[in-house]
Amino acid sequence: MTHIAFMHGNEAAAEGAVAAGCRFYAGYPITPSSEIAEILSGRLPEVGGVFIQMEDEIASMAAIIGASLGGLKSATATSGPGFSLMQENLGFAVMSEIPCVVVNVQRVGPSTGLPTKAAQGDVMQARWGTHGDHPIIALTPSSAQETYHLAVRAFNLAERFRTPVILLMDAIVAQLKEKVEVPDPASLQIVPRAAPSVPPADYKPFPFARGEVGPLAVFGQGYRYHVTGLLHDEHGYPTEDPAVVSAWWEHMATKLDAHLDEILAWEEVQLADADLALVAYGGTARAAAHAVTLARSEGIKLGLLRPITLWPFPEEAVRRLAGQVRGFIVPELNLGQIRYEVERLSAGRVPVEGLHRADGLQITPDQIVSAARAAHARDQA
Amino acid sequence: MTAPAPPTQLQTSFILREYLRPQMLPSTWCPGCGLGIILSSIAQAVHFRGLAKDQVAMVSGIGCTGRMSGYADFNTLHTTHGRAPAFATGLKLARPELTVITVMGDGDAMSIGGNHLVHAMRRNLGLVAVVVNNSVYGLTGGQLSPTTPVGGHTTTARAGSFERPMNLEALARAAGAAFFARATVNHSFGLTKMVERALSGPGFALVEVISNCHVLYGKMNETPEAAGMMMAMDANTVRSNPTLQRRARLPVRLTDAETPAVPAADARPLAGVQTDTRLRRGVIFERRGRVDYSGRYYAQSAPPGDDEAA
Ligand SMILES: Cc1ncc(C[n+]2csc(CCOP(=O)(O)OP(=O)(O)O)c2C)c(N)n1
Ligand code: SF4
Ligand SMILES: [Mg+2]
Repeated sequence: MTHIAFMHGNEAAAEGAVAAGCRFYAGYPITPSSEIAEILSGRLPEVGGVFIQMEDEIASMAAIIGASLGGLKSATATSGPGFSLMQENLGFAVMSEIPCVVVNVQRVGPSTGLPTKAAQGDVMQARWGTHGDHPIIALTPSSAQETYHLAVRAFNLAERFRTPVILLMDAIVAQLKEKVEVPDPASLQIVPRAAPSVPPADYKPFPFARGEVGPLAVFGQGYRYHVTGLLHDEHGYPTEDPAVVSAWWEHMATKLDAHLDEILAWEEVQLADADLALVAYGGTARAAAHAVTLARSEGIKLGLLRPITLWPFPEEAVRRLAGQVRGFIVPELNLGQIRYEVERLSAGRVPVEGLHRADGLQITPDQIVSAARAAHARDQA
Repeated sequence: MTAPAPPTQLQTSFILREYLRPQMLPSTWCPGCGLGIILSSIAQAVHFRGLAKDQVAMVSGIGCTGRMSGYADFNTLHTTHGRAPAFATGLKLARPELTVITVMGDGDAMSIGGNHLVHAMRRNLGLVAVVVNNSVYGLTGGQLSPTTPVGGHTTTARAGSFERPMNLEALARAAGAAFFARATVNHSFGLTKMVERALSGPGFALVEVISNCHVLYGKMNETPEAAGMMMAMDANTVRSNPTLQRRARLPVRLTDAETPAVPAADARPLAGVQTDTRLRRGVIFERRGRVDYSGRYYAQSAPPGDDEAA
């Protein structure tokens, strides 16, 4: 049965993870994500799962990959500096196609920055943080309620596409307590770990089926195979053969692209008749949604596009809007990371204005409305 | 709860091929490299312990040593440089019934992965670690390693290393590993025995294996032949006899809080008595009532019993 709870985003992330079937957590404490570890250290043993506090974030990422190979849905949570430390093994999970979930509650960086202040400065780190080209999924929630659902979705996508999935939160959402309707576990759609249906002799752990992934056999169940961070063939054996390497890239590069309709999610607020569009996400989108109401009461036709999957980015939605509106405003708690995306996609057709801050304070609805007024006045002139 | 399964049948003739992946051979290792002997010894130890290949996982780091997991026909995981113990920790907690063997080079285990190794030893999950000490970074071309002896020449210590080498034995003792043994590739029978011993008990068991990288370290240090380096291993090591050693001096206890502090024996050598500077091989220490802490991570586990306070 659905029940109503009062929780902050970190708690919602932890509860969503448990509901999604997460049974292994390895992490290293860091503000503003530590509550996730604290909660799961109690919750996981209750549901037969395992919690371990590792020596650092490098080890945390390694441990969740190991546990996932052992058949447990696994997750870790961290914040900026720890997310940087995870990048090496995050790439390993991409390369070896091992499902896992990484929560990054963003704070102001670089370095130790402003540890207790909200930011959205790791958007590009989530996309390109590990070395080399690679596909990645990053989801970003705007409320505790949505955090719960996106946590579930993160595990589902990880299993479905055999990939690490990043739940990119900001401290606004992570630490804001609000009402959450906790769904009946039976009502949730959960993607279980797929098991191979072929005998071990026919099993290919890393099939190069353009855009498709095969099941990942759990270690110890009769399918002995090799997992490596080296570029490998379909059996997992390292190779430098350019033909095999190209086939691997073909598979890796199309893995997510072939399924964008299944992955992409965004919300549109009053965009149908908008002639000015905000693009905002995470905690900032809450101020943006309010700004839409305020601006409309002044006669400014403002709308909001709220990406929920930051990566892959809802590109078509932005391209389409670029042909409709007279300008974009991108409020975000960084110096313009998603603005670059919007600029790229609108390709000079309409002006793209950033509304940025990374001083630890939040962007208010009034600030957004002022920016909208100015843009509106320019358009009328 | 995670003690390896007892031998199911008497294992007799050992055929190495049955433990290798023919499609991965020949290996990338240089002719004469000690790594082949080590792989063979690990396979023999698994064989004579009667463990099924499906129930064994080999987790390796990066380096010439790291390549070993690709050749062994177990569940194998070739991880990132230094991180093998952390990957192995996750795997072992998820599948406690698996026998998990980590394989690392000296740089892998003691430099980039030093912290992971220390904490894996401290946690004492039922993991086996084989650390291949060839005094050098093999894969990357012969650079300084944390175990390069003082005076040893490497491509990044051209006039000879002046840093104090890491003492893995003391590190293992301080961190609380349950078992520590040393072997060399020249004494392969003993090496197999030590891996068997490591496989046969709970807790974190570490086997340090002195190996030869004649191609890089040897060439830079006037022992360019594998055979010469192997002979040196015989001259520079001596079989360890823990009973005799216990009698000779009280064991050093570095962190064992449960053990009452004992006054250190007079460490000054007796006048006129030559101390033996050779490295000991064999079992160096084994904690009585060896502990496996894995059970504590599961809610249903019993509270720690008396035998755990070894
Ligand atoms: C993060 C990272 N840094 C550096 C390297 C390059 N690298 C690969 S193997 C190695 C050292 C290997 O030495 P050792 O661990 O002693 O193994 P050996 O090759 O001697 O068996 C280094 C530095 C790497 N792969 N990853
Ligand atoms: S470089 Fe040295 S350690 Fe590496 S395979 Fe050759 S001999 Fe062995
Ligand atoms: Mg080495």
